Amino acid sequence: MLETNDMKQVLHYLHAEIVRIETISGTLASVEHEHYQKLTNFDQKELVDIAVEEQSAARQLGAVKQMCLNMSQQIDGMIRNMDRGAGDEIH
Amino acid sequence: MKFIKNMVRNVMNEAMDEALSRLIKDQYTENMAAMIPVGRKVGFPNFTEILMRSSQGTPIPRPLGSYIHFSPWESLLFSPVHLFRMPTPEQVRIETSVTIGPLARKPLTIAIPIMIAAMSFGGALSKSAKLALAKAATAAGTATNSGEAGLMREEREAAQLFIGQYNRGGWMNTPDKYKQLDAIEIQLGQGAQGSASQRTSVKNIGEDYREVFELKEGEPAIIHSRLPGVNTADDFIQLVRRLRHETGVPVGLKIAATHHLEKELQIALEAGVDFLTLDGAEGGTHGGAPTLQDDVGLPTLFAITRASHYLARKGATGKVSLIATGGLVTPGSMLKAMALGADAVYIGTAAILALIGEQLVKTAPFEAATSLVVYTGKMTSELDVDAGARSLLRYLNASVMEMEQVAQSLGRTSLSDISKSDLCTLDADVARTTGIQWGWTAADQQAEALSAIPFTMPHPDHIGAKDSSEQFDSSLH
Repeated sequence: MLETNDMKQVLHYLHAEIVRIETISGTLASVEHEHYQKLTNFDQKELVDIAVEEQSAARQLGAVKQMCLNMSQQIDGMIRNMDRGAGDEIH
Repeated sequence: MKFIKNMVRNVMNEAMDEALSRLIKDQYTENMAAMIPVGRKVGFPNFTEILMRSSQGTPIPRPLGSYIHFSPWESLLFSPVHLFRMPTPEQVRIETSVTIGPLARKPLTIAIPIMIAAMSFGGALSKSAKLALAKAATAAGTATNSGEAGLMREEREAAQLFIGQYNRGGWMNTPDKYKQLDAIEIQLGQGAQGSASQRTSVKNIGEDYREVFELKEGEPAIIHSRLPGVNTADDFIQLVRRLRHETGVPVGLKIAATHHLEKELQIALEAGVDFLTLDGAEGGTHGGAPTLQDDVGLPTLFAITRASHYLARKGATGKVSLIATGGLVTPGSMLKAMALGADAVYIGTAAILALIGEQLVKTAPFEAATSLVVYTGKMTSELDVDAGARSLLRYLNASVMEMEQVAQSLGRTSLSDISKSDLCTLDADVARTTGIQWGWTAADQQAEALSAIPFTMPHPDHIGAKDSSEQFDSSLH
């Protein structure tokens, strides 16, 4: 029982951290996108290439956000299952 | 100099006079002008291919697939919004990421819904071209595909997300190889080849090719019509289940789109595939028989529409990812494929052209641009891998940005949210068969208007130009 509680705490910790990574990814994606906007103000090919890299980085952070969402949903499910299991034991 | 110019001018004048006189006076049957109606009748590609067949005596390997535009993408238009639903504010980022195989133990999430299609090292492309594709895909946060090949170590290392084909040559089909992949695509066919066998002759196989494919010296590379070990539907079902169990990565099926689509998909769903790749009749290849390219398969637009309906009927939408490929050469057609139900698309021809990009000048005017990238090309050593990767990354970025612009105008915040309800069609048949609204009439008068229009059967060359199409009464009235 103690082990299950420990596991639940670990899952809650992972869930909280993943949600935090999700938020950070969203913020950084916005920053990268702003960089793209600024860098494309100049008519210089090297800067445009950097801008394209920034935009791609922004989208990859979007993908990280999506992965975090998927993972946090899975962890949520695991916690719910553990709660159900504990409930069954009590009854 | 002036003397020479005058002399050339006089010679040309005499020659032109003579040619024109013969054009006018010669019997039509003996006249060079006869080639004009012959060319129009046969068509320029067919004309040259007749001559090539007569010279070579074997099926001729036409590069990059059919030139026929089977799918009427141009008859579909997105519907922007202004008031009844507001456009997306420009400060809101459009979500572009997609998860392939969401029910797999290790799903594959890509940052953009465009992936690099299966184009094999050796069978199709040079090592430098494959590395450029992998580098660009990695920079864009998307996946590239091995094609029907063995596992090339350098490509695996360059690609952050690597989809490998469990293939009919058997070159990727051992655990030491497929366990290194991020997704496994079981390749049973392709749009440009159907499920026909293919053979790369020994003269086109170099040392590096033999190494990746683990071929003996003097051994040709053969792609069988059947996957080795899969002779029944049950064999396939067992294979999918084993690969999913062993690896945990998404396991999918790639087939040439076909009118037997639903029967094939039924088996795939029974097997529990995580994704389906449908390669329409427009699909490209490094070189394939024109008959397999022009006369075999089902167009991408029809295939995706039917597959999407089928998945919905079976309750598999959102559980089994649908990947469209074949003839998707504009961001608009890629997004339309997604609106029709595809979760992501593969691009081949467009990716290769974008990769060549500014390096095109190296081949012009005496060599084909593809000689920089195909395995047997004369100029593969001239390809600058990093410059090619940069060109392709720019193309991918530009394409996704154009898709984002459309999403903004539709009032959507994610490319995945775009659906058939965001489209209208100018073609009554497409409206009837896809469920997309017909642009000629108001939303609430669709059924009445469409029932008054007879079905048409356009020749693929005339899709979008209905004047010349044959018409017949619809039996559905």
